Formats: sequence, structure tokens, C-alpha cells
Amino acid sequence: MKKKRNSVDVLSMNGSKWRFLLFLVIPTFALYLFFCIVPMINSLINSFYDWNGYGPKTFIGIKNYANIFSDVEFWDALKNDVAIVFFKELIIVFLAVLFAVSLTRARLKKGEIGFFRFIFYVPNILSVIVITMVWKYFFENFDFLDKGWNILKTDNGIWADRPLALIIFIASWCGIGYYMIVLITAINNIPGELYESADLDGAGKIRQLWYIILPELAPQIRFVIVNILAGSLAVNMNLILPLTNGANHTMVMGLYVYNYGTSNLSMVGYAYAAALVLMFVSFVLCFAVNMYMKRQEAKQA
Amino acid sequence: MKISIKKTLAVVLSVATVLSLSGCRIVYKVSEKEVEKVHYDVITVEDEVSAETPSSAESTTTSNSQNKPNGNKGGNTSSAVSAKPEKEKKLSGSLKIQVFINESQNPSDAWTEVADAFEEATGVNVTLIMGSQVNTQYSARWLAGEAPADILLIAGNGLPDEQMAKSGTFYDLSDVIKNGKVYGTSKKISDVLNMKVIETENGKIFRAPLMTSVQGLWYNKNTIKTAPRNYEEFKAISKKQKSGLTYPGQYADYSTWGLFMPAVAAYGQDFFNQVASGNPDAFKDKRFMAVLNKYEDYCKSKLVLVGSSSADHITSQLNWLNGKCGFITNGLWLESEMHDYIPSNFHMAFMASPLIENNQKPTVIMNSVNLAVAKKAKNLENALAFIRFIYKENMQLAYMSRYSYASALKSVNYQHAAMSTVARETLDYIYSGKVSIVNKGVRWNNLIDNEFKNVINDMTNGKMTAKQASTALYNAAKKSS
Repeated sequence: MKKKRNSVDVLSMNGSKWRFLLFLVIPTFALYLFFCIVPMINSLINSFYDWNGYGPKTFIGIKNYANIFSDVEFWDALKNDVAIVFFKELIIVFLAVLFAVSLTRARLKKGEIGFFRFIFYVPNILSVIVITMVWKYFFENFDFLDKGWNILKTDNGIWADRPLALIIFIASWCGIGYYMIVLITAINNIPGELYESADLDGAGKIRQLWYIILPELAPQIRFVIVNILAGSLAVNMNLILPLTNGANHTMVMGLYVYNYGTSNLSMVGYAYAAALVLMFVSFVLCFAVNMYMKRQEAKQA
Repeated sequence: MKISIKKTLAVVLSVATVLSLSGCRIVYKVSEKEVEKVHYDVITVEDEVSAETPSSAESTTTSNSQNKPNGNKGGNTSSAVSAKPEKEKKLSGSLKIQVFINESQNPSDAWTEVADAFEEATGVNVTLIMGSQVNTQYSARWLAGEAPADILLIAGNGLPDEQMAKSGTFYDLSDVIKNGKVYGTSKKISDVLNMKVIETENGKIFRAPLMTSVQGLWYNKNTIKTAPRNYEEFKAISKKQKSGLTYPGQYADYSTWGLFMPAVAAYGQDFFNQVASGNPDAFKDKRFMAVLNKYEDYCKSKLVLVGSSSADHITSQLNWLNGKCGFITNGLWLESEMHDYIPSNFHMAFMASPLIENNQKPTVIMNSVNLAVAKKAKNLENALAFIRFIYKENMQLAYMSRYSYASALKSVNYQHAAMSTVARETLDYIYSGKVSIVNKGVRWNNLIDNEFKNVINDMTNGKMTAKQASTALYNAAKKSS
């Protein structure tokens, strides 16, 4: 039997209900229109112009887009963004699950759980500038720690030879805490009977993790993956700017747009085009990943 | 129990709200302080005033360097602006000046001193909008075609002055610079000003030089007794140091303009102009290659301080001050910027780029630090008077001594100015005759600037040869032309 949904019968609504509905919808829609849709359309229009931000604009069609796609630095930036996001996803998902399971299923005391939650969550409440300065100082001055390993000590300095690896590490370190809390909440919502049944059947902790916790966490893990993807592509520059300023081939798309739009390069039309490309890439990746994961979940169900 | 928890929560939330609100106010205050508004009292002047006030009296010794370009002189030489006081038209009202200043207190002192003198001389009420974020804070208004200030100091990031000049944001100063007189004197500005550093747009002057500056290398005189005069000496001395050279890799243009381009300029103004204007073929020229080859050899000899290619400018400066290397690429502002961090046993000294042959003369590239007047300036007459006012010798000395820059005038007697020993020695070195001076005057496309930064870092890290660097720059120049 088909489940009946709760719904509002729009046709039978009286005037006061309509007014109330419009009262809620119109401000939201107006704000969305003026602060989201209009700037996007404005960006699209400006991306077809040769404009330095001051003075007259010259219509040049799709030349800005053609120049972007023929720019080696743009492809470097895109490649870096994808690499950062990909490894960040792997590290955060793996460690956030590990920490969340440890703090919920391991036999820890209440005080210990609170302590570790706080420790893992601290990076989320620190300013990006503080985080970048701390890690930058650490990697520049503590290379003696790996004497013999030569992971941190390189010919030209770690920030010159392995900047991307460090950026991925720092970006992941910042993100684990928040997603760990999300997963802890989900794990706490798993019915205790499932664990009891598994115990009676003789399933160990690892099997419980594999057959109970991970399947139950699937929607939250999908949320984590899509959220990292959507939140990273545009904001990787927040870390890159203070850490490397794009030097040593660490350009990312956000910084690329920023440089062309606001610095003395002042190619504003070009920056608009680059920003739209960034938005398009983010949208396509998020959409594709989301669809893929939904299908996988449906298959498993 | 439940009630007490609720009460506790309410108290905590209230405290948090109050704290966050007070936090907002603190931020607001800091922001207001950042855009420090120095307001001066109006001095009422009843009649036409003589602009020559006792405090701004000029030196009256005779100039012996009037016809020499860049002939600023120390010692007991002359003043270029040494004319009898002229009566100026009475002025009134106000004047707003937007001034980007860095962390150092010195530049703001210079502006305060000059604003005081201008007020005293003219009766105009001067407001200085100063801070390290003023460009960011006001760029939207400039962009919208407004004039948030009458005069703008073109310094720091965030103001694309070339585009602003081309788009008509600035007032055309051609007449003032070519025909105007130094405020309160009968001297023509064009006679006393170093006209060669002026950048023009279609022959029009939109930017008035306030000071001039050069970039090069700095070393510690206490450890390096004699500055290297060519590449062979540079390499030999570098080998005796813990490490040879450092530069801020995140802002590798410090090396572009302190190390590479001065060495290019050593081949003469013509070749420098070819490269600096972005002529693609110039980047394949054997003279340009000779400069790149020297740097490649220097990097292969492992003489660049490890970590330089990823350092920010403060890190690189501190590394140098802490004795980790012998030389650093930087500009004349270095002493003023690092004033509080210079060790007592450290004697900073400036030198031109040593990436030159034995038979070449060390060369510096002189570029101007400019002021622009807004086309829509509310106080245009006062703004133009201020532009004429800055060319008075004692005003130039006020800027020189606080900024540690060179003057925009051809000749200034700075020996008795209250400036640091390092600044005086640096100016003595630049005007000693041992160094050639090439004027910048032209600009290449910023895409070349970007590529140059990548090239320098890649060469430093051994990931690019001189030949590859030349090709990369050629391609960037070709693309931007």
C-alpha cells in the first residue's frame, strides 16, 4: 500500500494562508534573487568583456574563456585543486570514521571522551591564519625531528619541494573534527539492539564496524564527501594565500580568480570568466559524486 | 535541577552575547584606528599669504648639478629649489589625502610633518586617511568612479594605477608638472624635477613623482667588508658565508627588480627598455641570457639559502638579519621596515646587482613613487597646490629622511637632513658616480611579471635551466603582446 504523504492542498488554502505563505516565501526569494542570481548573471555578462575594472568595457565574446583554457597556470590550478580535494577526502573520511568509532565504541571514560573530542575539534575553532602560521613555523623549524628519514628535510626546503603534500596535510587536519562530530551523532543513533544481536552471533568489533556501523553511516559519509568537495574547491585559497601565495606551483583556482580580479593584474572580465569556470567545475563534480553515491546506496539497499 | 541548568544556560548565553557584541565593537574600533584620520586645525588666513614660512625656508646655496640627471648631492652641495619667495593665491577649504603606509611609524611621521607645513603655508585643512588597508577599504569607491580622496599615494597592492590612469580616474597633471612652479617659489617644477622617471599615458602625465626608489642587494658591512662589484666577486664572497643569497620566494619580484633587471640595465637604457617593455625577442637576446646563466651557475653552486623560494618577505628578511646568509634582495625601504629587528652588531649596506661582467658598471633602476590627483577631486585647487608643495626641498627631505628613499628632484642637499646613517650611506652610494642610474619609465604586462616570479623560483630549486627560463619568459611576453 502506497504511503500517504502529508501535504498542503494549495487549491483549498484560504486568503490568510496564502498571505502567510507569501510572507515567508517572498523575502527569501527576493534575497536569493538579488544576492545570488543577479550577481551570477552579472558575472556571466562581464565575462564576455575585456574590462580592467575601471573605464569602458569591450565586448570580446568567448575570448576570455579561450584564454583561460589555453593558460598553463589555469590547468596547474585545477590539477592542484583536484589533488588537494581528492586526498583530503580520503584522509578526512578515514580518520573521521576512525576517531568517531573510537570515541563511541571503545571503552573510554566519560572524561577521556570529552577530552579527545575537544582535542580533535580544536582546529575547527582556530583562525585559518593561526593554523597556517603554526604549521608553517613547524615545518620550517622542526626538520631536525626526522633525522635520517628525510621526509621534512629536502634540497630546497620542504615548502619548496613538497608544498602540496603539506597543504593537503594541513587542510585535512583542519577538517577532521567537524566531520567526526557529525559521524559521532550518527553512530549514537544506531539502535543498540543491532550490536547486541551481533554480539550474540559472535561478531567481533571489526565485523560490527564493517556490517553495522559503516552501512548505517553511509548517508552521513556521503554528506561528508559532498560537503568537503563543495567547500574545498573555492576555499583552498584561504590556506594557500598565507602559506605559499601560489609560489612553487601551488596555484589553485580560487587564488587564480583572486589574482586576476583584485591584484594589480586587474583583468576583471577575465576573472569573472575564471570564477564561472570554477563554479561550473565545482557544480559538475559535486553533482556527479552525489549521483554516484546515491546510486551505490540504492544498489546496496 | 532542570531549572538551575536552564538558568545556568541563560547566564552563559547572555555572557556570550554580551562578549560577542563587545567583540564587534572592538573590531569596529580597530578598523577605525586603522584608517587613522589625522585632522588638523584650520588656520585662518585673512589676506593673501606668503607661502614661504620660516619652517619651510629653502637652502640658498648654488646648484652645481642642475643639468645632470639624477644629480642629487650630499655634503655641502646645492639645493635646486633656491629661489626667492613668491606670493601664492589665497587658499581655503580642505584637502583629503589617501596614504598607504606599512607597519613602520616613520612614513606616517613624514606625512604628518608635510601636512602640518602645508596647513601652515596655505591655511588649507588637511585630512590624512592613512593605514595599511586603505587601498582595500577604498578600492570599491575608486572603482565606482567616486573620489574618496583628493590625492592618492600610489603604493601597496590593490590599486591598479595604470588602469586608473588610462580610464580617466586621475586628473591630467601635465600642465602642472611642465609649466607649474614649486609652491612659493619662482622655480619651474620641470627644471628641478627628475623628469625621466615620469610615466606617461599617451603623452599625458597622470602621476606626479613624490620620491624615487631603487632595488638591489643588502649585506652586512660588519661581515662583508667590501661589496662585490661583479659576478665573480659575488660568487667568491658568497662561498665564504654560511649561505650566499636569500629572497622572498612568495614575492619573487623582489629578485626580478633587485637582482635580474638591474643586471639587464647594466647593458644600457636601450636594452633595458626593450626588456622592461616586454619585447619578446629581448628575452632571447644573448645579453639577457648572460644574466640568466650567471644565476643558474649561482644556484647550481648551492649558494641560495635553502627555503628562500618559499619564504615570505618577513621570513627572508629575518633570516638575513639573523646571519643565515650574506645577501638579500630588497628595496630602500628595508631599513625602515625592519627598524625594530636590526641586531646591534649589524651594519646594513646597499649595493647594486652583482650579476654583471667584470667590465660592466653596477647599475640601479630608478623608479618613482607617485601621487595622483582624482579627476573628480572636491578640492582640486588645493590638491594641485599640494602637488607643487611637495617639490619644496624641505618637504622632499621630510619624505627622504622618514622613508629612506631618494628624492624626486634632480638635486637635494640631504647631508644635514635628520636621516639614519644607513639611509645617508645608501644615497651617497647611489649618487657616488660608481653606479649607473637607469630610469624605469616603462612597464611590461603583469603576465610577464608573474612568469618571471615562477622562473626565478624554478631556477632556484634547480627545476629550470637558463635556456628554459628564457623560453618561458619569451612565451609570456609573446602572449601578452
